[in-house]
Amino acid sequence: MIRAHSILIAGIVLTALAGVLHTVWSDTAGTIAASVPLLLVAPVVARGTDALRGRLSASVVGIVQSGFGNVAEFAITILALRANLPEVVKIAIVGSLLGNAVLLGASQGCCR
Amino acid sequence: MIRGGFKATLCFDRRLFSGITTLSVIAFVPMAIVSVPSDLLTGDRRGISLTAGIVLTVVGVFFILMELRAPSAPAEHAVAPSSQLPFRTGLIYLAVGGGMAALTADWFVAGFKPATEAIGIPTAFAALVIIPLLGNVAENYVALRYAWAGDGDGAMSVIMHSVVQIALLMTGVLVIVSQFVGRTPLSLQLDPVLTVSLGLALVVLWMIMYDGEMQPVEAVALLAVYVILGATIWAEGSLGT
Repeated sequence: MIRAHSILIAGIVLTALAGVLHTVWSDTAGTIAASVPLLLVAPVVARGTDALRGRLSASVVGIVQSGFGNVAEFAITILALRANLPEVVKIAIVGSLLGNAVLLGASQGCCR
Repeated sequence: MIRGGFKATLCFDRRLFSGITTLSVIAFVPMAIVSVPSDLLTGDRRGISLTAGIVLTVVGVFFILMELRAPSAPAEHAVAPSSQLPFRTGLIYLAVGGGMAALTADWFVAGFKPATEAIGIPTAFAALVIIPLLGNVAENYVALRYAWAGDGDGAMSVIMHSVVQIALLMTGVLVIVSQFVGRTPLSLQLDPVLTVSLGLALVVLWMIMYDGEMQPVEAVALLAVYVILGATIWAEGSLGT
């Protein structure tokens, strides 16, 4: 049971840990600690969208997959706007497009 | 099928992606118009950016609606999930994933600048490389799984949908939201280095998609371009703040 949901449990525990570090220690420690559960959002969401296949149409699953796939980045950029970091947001948008178009395309070519 | 090396060309059906690839290049046009140095355009271009943001959002919503009406998505024949969860458990995973993203993004942003300074990473580099890597890890993970399994159509579908959603919907919505959130509304006016890099990258991607295959040498060359841009921003990048 625990092993079957190990990614979900690890994500919840590490998110709680990042929250404690952010609250008790410092914003800097919170930023560094939050990076790890941010990475775990991907496999958690991927397992969730896998479960939708067969119950929803392929188009809807694809949109849910893309929408939840971008949720971490969307949250980061909205919060960066609130923190008055518009230049960071602009560069992050370009970085996302370049990252998808260039890095991901290249990585795919390499891993085949 | 040879896996795990520079031995095979990733092939995909270019007819499946011709429309969406062209759309990704078209989405760049408003950014280029706002960003290009010009004596014709005066002011801070935030009004033009807002108009462009609204237009991009409308096109993005139209794109989503058309995708919903499409009879089948190219990725549906892709990799079978290794251990599929029950439907309700899947919804719990999605809810927890969304909650994790919202909470950790808040904490991540709170100390972003001091953390990059403490670690010694230029803030511009962190914005260009680290935020997108953290933010896009879901798509990267799924697309690489498809590519590894030899499903070029599924992998390219994830990439192109992500590119178009970011270029149209995310950019447009962020410009609109910035009118109400934060002190400085978001402008689409990009630095010339970023404008040229992005434009060329999208054109190169369009050429590769038009070709219908990605050869290992093309993949390595693309990766080299990304490394050069990242190194340039690391060495010379500044947010001017």
